[in-house]
Amino acid sequence: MTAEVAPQPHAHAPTGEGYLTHERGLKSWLFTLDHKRIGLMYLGSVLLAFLLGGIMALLVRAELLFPGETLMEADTYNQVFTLHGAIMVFLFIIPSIPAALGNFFLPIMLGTKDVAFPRLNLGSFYIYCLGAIVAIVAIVIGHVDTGWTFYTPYSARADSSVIWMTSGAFILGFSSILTGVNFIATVHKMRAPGLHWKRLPLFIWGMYATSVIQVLATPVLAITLFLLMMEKTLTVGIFDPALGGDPVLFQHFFWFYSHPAVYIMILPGMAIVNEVIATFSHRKIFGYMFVAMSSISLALVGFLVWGHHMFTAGMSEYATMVFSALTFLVAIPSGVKVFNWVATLYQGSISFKSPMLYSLGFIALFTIGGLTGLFLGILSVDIHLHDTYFVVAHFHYVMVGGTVFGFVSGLHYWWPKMTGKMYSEKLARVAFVFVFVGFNVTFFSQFVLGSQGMPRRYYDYLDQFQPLHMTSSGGAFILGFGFLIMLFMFVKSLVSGEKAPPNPWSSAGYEWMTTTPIHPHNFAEPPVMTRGPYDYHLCTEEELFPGFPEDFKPSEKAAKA
Amino acid sequence: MAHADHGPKYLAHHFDTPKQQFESAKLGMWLFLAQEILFFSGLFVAYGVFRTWYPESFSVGSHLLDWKMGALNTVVLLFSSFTAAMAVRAAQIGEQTGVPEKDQHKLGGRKWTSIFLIITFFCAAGFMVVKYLEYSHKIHVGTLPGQFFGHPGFDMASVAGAEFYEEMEKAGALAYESGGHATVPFHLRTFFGIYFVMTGLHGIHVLIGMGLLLWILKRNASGEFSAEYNTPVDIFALYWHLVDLIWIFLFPLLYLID
Amino acid sequence: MADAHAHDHDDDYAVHAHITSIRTYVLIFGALLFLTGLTVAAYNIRLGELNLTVAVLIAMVKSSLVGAYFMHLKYDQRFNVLFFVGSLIFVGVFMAYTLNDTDHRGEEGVQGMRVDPATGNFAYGTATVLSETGEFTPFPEAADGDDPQTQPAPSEGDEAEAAQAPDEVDGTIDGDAPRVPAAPIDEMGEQGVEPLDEHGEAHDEQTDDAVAEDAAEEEAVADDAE
Repeated sequence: MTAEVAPQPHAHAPTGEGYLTHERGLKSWLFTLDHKRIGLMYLGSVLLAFLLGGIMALLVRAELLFPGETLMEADTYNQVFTLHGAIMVFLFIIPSIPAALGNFFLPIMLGTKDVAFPRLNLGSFYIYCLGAIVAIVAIVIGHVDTGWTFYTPYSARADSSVIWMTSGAFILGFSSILTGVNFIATVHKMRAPGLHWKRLPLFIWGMYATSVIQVLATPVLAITLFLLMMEKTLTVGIFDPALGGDPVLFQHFFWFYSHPAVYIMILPGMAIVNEVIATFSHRKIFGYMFVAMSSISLALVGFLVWGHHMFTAGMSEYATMVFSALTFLVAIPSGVKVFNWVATLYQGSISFKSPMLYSLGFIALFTIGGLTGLFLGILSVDIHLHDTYFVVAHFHYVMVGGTVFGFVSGLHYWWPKMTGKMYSEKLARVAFVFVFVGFNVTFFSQFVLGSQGMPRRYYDYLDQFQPLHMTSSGGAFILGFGFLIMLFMFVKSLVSGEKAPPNPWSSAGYEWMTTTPIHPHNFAEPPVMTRGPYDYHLCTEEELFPGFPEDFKPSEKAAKA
Repeated sequence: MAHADHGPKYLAHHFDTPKQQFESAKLGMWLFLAQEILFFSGLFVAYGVFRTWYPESFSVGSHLLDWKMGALNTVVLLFSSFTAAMAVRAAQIGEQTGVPEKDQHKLGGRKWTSIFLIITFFCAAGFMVVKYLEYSHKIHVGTLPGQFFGHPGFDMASVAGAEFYEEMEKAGALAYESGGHATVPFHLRTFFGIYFVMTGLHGIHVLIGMGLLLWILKRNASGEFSAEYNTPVDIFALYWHLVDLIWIFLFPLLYLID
Repeated sequence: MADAHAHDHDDDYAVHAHITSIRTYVLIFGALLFLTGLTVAAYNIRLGELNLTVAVLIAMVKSSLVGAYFMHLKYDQRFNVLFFVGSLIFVGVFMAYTLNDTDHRGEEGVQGMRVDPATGNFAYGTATVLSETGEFTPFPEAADGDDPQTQPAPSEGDEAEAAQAPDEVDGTIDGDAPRVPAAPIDEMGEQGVEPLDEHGEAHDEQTDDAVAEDAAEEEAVADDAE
């Protein structure tokens, strides 16, 4: 928690060297305090987790191609979907945007040299690694088949490797909390001169709201998992009905974290969409303050609705009614966002580059995911749909159609700035088509399956569901293929991509004002912000020039005009 | 980047001013403390649920705790909080060489920082000793959580069984049925589950605090802190006060149930 | 980025801590001791229902003192105060919503009763009904037949040892009949006998239909209960 940090070795980096090359060697990465390098290390880790989780997802879908045993035994199947859920949630989605892209761009967009606590930042990365290792060891040597939610009483009686798995999640939680603490302090205390709150990029607002949830909700997950561990070792009897405890209380505890955690996952996705939409519409974002405040209110309202995960769990009817009514509140700020994005597009000069395609995909899919969420918030409808594939489809529309599309959109958008390389736009678009089509085929058929009554997490199913299951599995493989193309495209860019100019999308965003490759201190000269990040009308021609600065000849252009 | 005359040695390179650095550190610590509050909140919620469900077990359970021990520990911890605050004050004043004696603050400077920190450390150690006495007594007589409650499997005629019986009788926890069998409230085990988790987690925080304290003490002894830079002492004390705050609630909620 | 103004305006540059006087600290410590005494005194007066309220109120005053003076919140940045105090609101939400559920379980119809998944029977903590005679009837169908609350299997040898248990210990309370000391608690749980007063409160509050139905089975008391 201490603030003092020794002056870094790269403090006197030769001018002109980017953050990637000014220091070399493994040690310069492992002990780096540079938020950009830490962000990249996070990026590598979460992508690895995404790959693992994705393979698990494909295994699940392959097993479900036919009724009965296809690939694996029922017991293995239970473990595989648990792994898919736990890896995707704890190792991929939650850290994906904040810890990787957020870490990289938050200080740059604030015009500062680093986050407030660089050592804490590196520490949180290693805590993440430790948590990941503990969780994966539990998976490999143990027998974790509780699902990612670890519901009691099953988890309290299941294999003892659940203790290791929950310890892993416990540790990962602290990584998340420390990132949140770091970001809030950075946003409050480290903004460049002239960057007041009303000029803050909406990506920062999204990160800020996310961080508030991380700080306030994640500790409750920690205590929940801690109590579960105590239940398994000391039999404290808080969640065990046989000892006078209450398994539904576990669900309260778990969802007090995990519902806000849904906003930890989706708010950063929304935050990226703001930036991308503004850049590729070349327009000031419509209703800036409304969008900013909707992030904050989503973060706060997200704390009031956790009970809608438990309508059929045996809560008192009185409580279910309150939670149901409050759930609809969430639709308001979400609606504000979607409305403002669409309004920003209106009369903008839109260019359909690949980041924009993913962001538009986000808006469409998130809208479907959000609206089906409202169905589930209605008490009577939820009785029918609870724990069916409808729920699975709903949250995949939000988590994959939302967060993953947002993440991928941001990755495409900032790739040239991060790596200094351009990628093949053509391949990116081909990948987008596969991902978009594959995703919808996979999960739309699950909406239908769920409404017909197919329960989630089941290993076997009735013959009547087979065509839809097959469609869904087919879609999953298309989706997987799309991601493979994307992976190929990015690797190709790293190996043989063209050199990227500083501002390839002619964006007015602050992060494009710095050089490519980025200076180790983000900006060669500390910037002073004199305009907002979406003030296209205030930008000079030079600022928006997409090519290399040396190609820019304002006098010639003026002469032509 | 001309960092040669960036500022004093303690100023990290990415901060512009000591004030910015200080305020960032403070804010970061307060965010962390808010996190701690939410961390403990789960225990308080569980406490609330089970106290409303099992009021009698909680009342009896509380009589099985020694409130005098709890009160003693409260006083010890409050005093340690006081000395921690005094340590921060001493560090904020810093060395007063060159200041005329009449203008000097009393009890200021590095020496007094160390003295107050050491007192705080011993208070913390005292707290843990009392905790140890309480725990060992409970483990001995079998007022333990869940399945361990009442040493299941022990013969009641054994020493442990008889001691458990006596302990229950002393607290008025026994009810007699028509058959002559004595029973104790079933949910006492829940009370002790909550008691051990709450005080245990709090105790772990005390231990962590003691570790941090030694580290701060060492840094203070090496002369790292001054009137201009004493942030680590300050934010350590914040942590310590939070540990105290939680105990302020734990004491009446666990030991003093009517 | 702020080099230009950094050294000119000392106030923006250096840290100026507020140094509290020793007197204030001692006074605060004294107040805390006094309030601790007050808590203990309030406990010994046996306030009954009010006990919890008084204890929590005093604890809040104490923690405000610690926060404001020892932790310097009084002189701190407003946002720090806001965030810290704001976090308590979230604790309140957590507590209130959860208790809103657990306090109302099983009040309306049968939805919301807790079932022990191991046995399929109603579990402890379900709102229970006590007859005036002090007999425990968890629920009509659970009451007859099987034990409603079956414990997890006791540890090995438990059963046998328990059988040997009743070595007499002098009943010291009112010495009529020789008392048999408590059997191991696991055994007691198996009897499904709740301590009698435990659910006294629940009983008082249960005035709705479900209760009336249950109570009707206890013929004699049905009228009183209404």
